[in-house]
Amino acid sequence: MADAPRIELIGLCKSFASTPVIANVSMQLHGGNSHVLLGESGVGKSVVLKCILGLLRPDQGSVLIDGRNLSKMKRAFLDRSGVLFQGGALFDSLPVWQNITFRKLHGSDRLSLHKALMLAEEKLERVGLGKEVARLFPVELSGGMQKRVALARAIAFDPEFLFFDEPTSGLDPIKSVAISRVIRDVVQDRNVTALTVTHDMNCVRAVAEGVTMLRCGKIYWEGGLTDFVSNDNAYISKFSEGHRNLQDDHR
Amino acid sequence: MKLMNPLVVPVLVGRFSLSVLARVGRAFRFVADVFMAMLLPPYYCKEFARALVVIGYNSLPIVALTTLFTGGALALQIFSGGTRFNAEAAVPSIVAIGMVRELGPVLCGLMIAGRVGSAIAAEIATMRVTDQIDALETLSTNPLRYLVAPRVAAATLVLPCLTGIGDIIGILGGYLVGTTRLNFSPAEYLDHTMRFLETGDIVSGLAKGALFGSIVALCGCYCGLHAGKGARGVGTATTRSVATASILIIAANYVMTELFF
Repeated sequence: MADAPRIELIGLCKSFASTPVIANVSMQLHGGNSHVLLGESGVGKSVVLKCILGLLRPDQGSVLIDGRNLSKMKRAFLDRSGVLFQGGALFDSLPVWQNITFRKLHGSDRLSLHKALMLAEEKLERVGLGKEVARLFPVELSGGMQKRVALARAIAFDPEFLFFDEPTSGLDPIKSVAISRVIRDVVQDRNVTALTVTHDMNCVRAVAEGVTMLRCGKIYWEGGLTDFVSNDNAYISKFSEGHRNLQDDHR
Repeated sequence: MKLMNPLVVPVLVGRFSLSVLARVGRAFRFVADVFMAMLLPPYYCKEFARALVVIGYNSLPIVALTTLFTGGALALQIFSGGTRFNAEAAVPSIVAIGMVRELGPVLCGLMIAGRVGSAIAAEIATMRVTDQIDALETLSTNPLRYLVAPRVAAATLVLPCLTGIGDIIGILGGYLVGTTRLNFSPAEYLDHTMRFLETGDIVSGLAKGALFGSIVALCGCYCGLHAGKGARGVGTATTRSVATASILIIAANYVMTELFF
């Protein structure tokens, strides 16, 4: 019998100002699986992600976490999740090490400042940055470094669920590969349930086990990475082989 | 000729009314949520201390300069009007009562709305636009508790202090003008100032300051959190925050004056 899905989306619909963005999106994410949500820019990938995280309330449909409705356990779910936002979303007013350990700097189970700094330095090394970065502020970092700091924040406290929104956008090919490798290694080492939202095929090839493709706000294709890459559907093969050309054509 | 549907106007009026009521409802809900967030833990003391410095300490120069010159100008105007019916001697007491009851809190409120309210709105709107607010939520942190409650608490506590300082400096401005330009002796000016000033005047002014402080911070935070997308969204939130806070301060000042009348 197949494992029960850890995250299940059932018929999600979301509109903005009466313009439908996603319609009837259903998918399942299983434990220890790295899934990729793929599609052109503007098809609603990030909206699906925000619905899963409870940042947007779907107009219809529901999100189940381990079989329970997200609305009843959002806080507990987020406590066990790490999120990498598209632009990094680092807090400008805090140094890098406080950004990484933010979750444990407040509240009853807070870390001592020394331990927090040590942990931040360890995570920075994990994403290929030096310890000296820990005391800098986000504005002092390049875009690629900010992305890696945001990745360090996402993985800082060994979450059970990881979400990456366009993890390689705005990075050069070498940095993209490095980030994709870190994501793949973290998912494999920790056996976490991961969802990556992207339109970068190199990232898909590096991290995906399962692929869901969105087109015009609806699920267009679902399956394994191998099936996706070898698929002879015109749209999919155009996307997987020359998705940049396809986007140019659309523009 | 095609006649207009007679229901169009009532429908439009109804839609507009519902939209206004929805906005007012959202604003009141926001205020209630913020006060709940201020009462319940966790408390972010570091954010609160930072807000105290930004709103209070850093605003001292602007408050001091504004009230100093206003106190001086007020003394000149009252003297000019008072000479018409031999009431020159009332200059010190009217300057003191005018500053403490009315001009001190209103000027402080408006200056803080311009300096601090806009900064709060711009900072939080930028955080909204760059997904930092969403990031806070995913890090199990309630933005109302982390961002809004410390700022509102700090502004509510600091504005009465700034108002008190502004009152003293405004009276000092009147004193300087009175003793150097209007031929009052220093002892006579101070004696007239103290004789007519009552505790109730000071308390009402400080209470206004506290209310104006919470208005400024609430407007800044609300507009910032509800900012639209991009740089334009940040700009609009900032402008809206200052305009709304200024109007609310003027309106609340009238209501408070009626209460303390």
